[in-house]
Amino acid sequence: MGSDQHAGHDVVRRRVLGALARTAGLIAAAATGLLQTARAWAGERNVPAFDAKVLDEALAAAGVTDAIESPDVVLRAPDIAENSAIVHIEIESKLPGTRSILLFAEKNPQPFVAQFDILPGMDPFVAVRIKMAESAHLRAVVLTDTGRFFARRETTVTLGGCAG
Amino acid sequence: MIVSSALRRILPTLVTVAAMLVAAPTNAAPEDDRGAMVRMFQSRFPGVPLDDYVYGGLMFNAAARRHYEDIMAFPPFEPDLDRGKALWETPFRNGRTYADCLPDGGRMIAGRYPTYDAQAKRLVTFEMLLNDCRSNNGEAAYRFDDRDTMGVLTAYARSLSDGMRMDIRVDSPEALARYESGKALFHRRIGQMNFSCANCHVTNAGKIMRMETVSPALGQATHFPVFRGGDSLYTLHARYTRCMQQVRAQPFAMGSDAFNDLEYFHSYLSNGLPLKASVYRR
Amino acid sequence: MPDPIKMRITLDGDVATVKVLMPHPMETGLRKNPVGEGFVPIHYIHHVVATHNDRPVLDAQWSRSVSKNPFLEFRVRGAKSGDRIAVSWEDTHGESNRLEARVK
Repeated sequence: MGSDQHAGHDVVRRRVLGALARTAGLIAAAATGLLQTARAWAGERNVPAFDAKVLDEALAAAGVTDAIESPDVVLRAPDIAENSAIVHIEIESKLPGTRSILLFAEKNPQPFVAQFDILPGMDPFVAVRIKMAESAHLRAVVLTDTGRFFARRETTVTLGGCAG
Repeated sequence: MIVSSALRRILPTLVTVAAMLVAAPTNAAPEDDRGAMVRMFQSRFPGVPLDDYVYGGLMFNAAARRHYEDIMAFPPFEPDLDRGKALWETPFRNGRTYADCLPDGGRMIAGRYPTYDAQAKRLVTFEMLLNDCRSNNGEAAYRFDDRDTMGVLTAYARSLSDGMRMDIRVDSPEALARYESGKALFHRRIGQMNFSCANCHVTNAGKIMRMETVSPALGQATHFPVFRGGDSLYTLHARYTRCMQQVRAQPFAMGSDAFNDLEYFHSYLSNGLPLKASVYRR
Repeated sequence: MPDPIKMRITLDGDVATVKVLMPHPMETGLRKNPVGEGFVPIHYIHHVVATHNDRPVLDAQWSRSVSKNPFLEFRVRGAKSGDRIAVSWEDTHGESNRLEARVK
């Protein structure tokens, strides 16, 4: 991490702040600036899906209600999440032509947790840590060139007061 | 000298016991305590390797242990350790550093603390050692309860001793007195809940309390500070404070003699176990 | 000013495993203000992009459900020593951060 990186970062910051000044609203800001290149590759943010308050609405807004359960979608999550603020999740697709991985946590205030668009050159695998509001099904949906597939897992969230 | 007949009868025994106490190495009593606790836990949890006790309650739960390893692979509290490293590396105004001031440059030494300094006639914790460095180099001591100075500094500094086997010594009568004081506190019932440390972390270790597996006293002192929930830094004394609050007792001050004595006894129990400081806990 | 992104890259054959930590509060807007009234305002990373030699390989949209100080792991195929991997994020306040590192 050299000084040139910090300089580069400052440039990026100025660009983004400039972009912010020119645009109103978060979504507009997200679509500008340094991330513009990638925007050409991937879809826009699916705001209705992220805003949905219940799982069925989120799945519908994301267009994945008809996804088929598949053992080729591997969702690794703890059976028991000892701390709901930090639950380590891994998702891997063994399906050819995987374009996107979507993650939902059924009982979260907004169940759509994240969308990962897999561009050429990346393995269809991601790991991420998420918050869970309460014990719930986690659902990973994989979009491929030919269809929509999912895996789900029950994760129990425990709340306690001690740790040593 | 008038001695009661009862006392006269037991006097030879008393003399013998006193002679044994004088003749025996001072570590004998602590070593007996530690050995008894190791044997007790090993018979209660057969097949658990002794080194696994450093994982606390995680030693009983393979899934929780795996989640811990996933998080430790790149822990969310690394920015705090970076802050501690920056404090560690920043020279004092006289140009000297912690590494100049500490034995062995501060590496692989934390497992020797607390230790009793016979010359200064005081028990020295690792955090006191860090503050001694500051004082001796013209800097103000950090507060023991300040997360952003002593907290992150000791979280980083202790990690420089990762893998070292705990090696606490009790080698003088004065040191033994501090050890015994800590042992007494460990067993004393306190607070509105009327719990001692031992009630939970010896008697009920391995059982579920408040939806949590209670960790054994053995191994606890090897891994502090912990980052609870991924980023909430608890030094060992902060953890003692929390324990006392949970049993509704008025906590001692962090860095107080009472907590230092408790840490001395508590750390001795973990002798021989490997240090792994600054770890994730739920 | 957020802390810098941290990245660790390991190369196994032609697959670079990239582990990233992005220091950020990831406020949900649901957390009570510890000092004062009300709740801590919502503030989270909502967009993350990873590139391999400037070519985008991952484009992620996130919600506030991603944990504080987010962790992300992904695998880039066709990587070799000396390649450049970069990660950028942008949050709901319009702040951003970027880190580029080389595959060892």
